Amino acid sequence: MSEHLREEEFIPYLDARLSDTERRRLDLHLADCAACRARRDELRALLGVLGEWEAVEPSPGFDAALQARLEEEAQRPVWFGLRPAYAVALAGAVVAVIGLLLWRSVPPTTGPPPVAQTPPEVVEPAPGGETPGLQAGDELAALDNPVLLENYELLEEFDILFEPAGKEEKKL
Amino acid sequence: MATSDKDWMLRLQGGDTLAFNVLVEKYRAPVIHFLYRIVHETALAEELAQEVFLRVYRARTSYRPRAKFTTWLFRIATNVALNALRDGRMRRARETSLEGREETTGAPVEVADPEGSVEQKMLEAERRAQIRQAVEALPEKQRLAVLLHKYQELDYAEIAEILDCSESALKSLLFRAYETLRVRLRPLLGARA
Ligand SMILES: [Zn+2]
Repeated sequence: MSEHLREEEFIPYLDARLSDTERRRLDLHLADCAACRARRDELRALLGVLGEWEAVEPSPGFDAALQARLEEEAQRPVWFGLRPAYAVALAGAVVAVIGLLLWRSVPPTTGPPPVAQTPPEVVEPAPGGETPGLQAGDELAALDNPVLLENYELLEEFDILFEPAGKEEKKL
Repeated sequence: MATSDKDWMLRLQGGDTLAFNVLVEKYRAPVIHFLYRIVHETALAEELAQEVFLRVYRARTSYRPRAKFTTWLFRIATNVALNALRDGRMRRARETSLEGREETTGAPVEVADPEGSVEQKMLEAERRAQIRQAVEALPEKQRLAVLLHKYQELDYAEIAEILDCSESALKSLLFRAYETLRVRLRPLLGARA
């Protein structure tokens, strides 16, 4: 008699995912071997029984709840979602960059202000206290470039960063 | 030709947020079913499913269409589920439900049902509970393999990738899981409820 079905052959056999050649070979063995046949039949019955376990259907409020979480996520500071260690590291990096910019700006220079290229509409507080730029279509941009958007309160401590844009055009 | 999941994902990547709604609409039920069979509690399964879709949304810019979308999606769902199991959210949810018993699914039993049907429904519920307990008792990787194979009907290559094993290892894993279930559920195999 040929070899018994190997363990990795049973499930593909039952799923009908074997090549014709493989299937024919196993069928030949199954015709001769009551033990493999019994096991195959029980496994087949088992797969049917497992199908009786139904899962719940999504509740009607699922989409609305998901939408609310998406909006909440778009509105909150980027480091709110970070692990504390990353948030601290990010805050440290922001402070270091600001420190560097301030240090560089101390001696009077003829060059442009370091961040003159920052568009003013990004850093100006909105009149209603709303975070600007987070409506509908801008959601993606907000998530992709959130540090500037979200931390202007920290940045506005430094007047040098808020010189009117366009006062000095950057020349190369 | 129909737009593929990958195409929708690439559209989302390009800023088309409607593409996200299409993917949620298509995969909401499968993801909730998968999570429900792990945590056995509707509200928690939905909360976790929301987390899965939030992660898809957050990761849209880093998505690369190498693997099938469903492989990626269920890999995320698996991670979310395992995290929930490990951080004890499942235990807390269960403590608040009745003695950790699975919620009854489907319509509530009605008194006006024809005679015998109440008993029939109790029998079916009892069978479902036995199936759930048998699957739940499997080792974690076997359990996930069974859920992804039997209930989500993913193909071997996808499940193998999600579970980080070879296809042939997966086939053996599935066989062992089903062998265990075959022995544990033997009383149910003869007759249907
Ligand atoms: Zn045999």
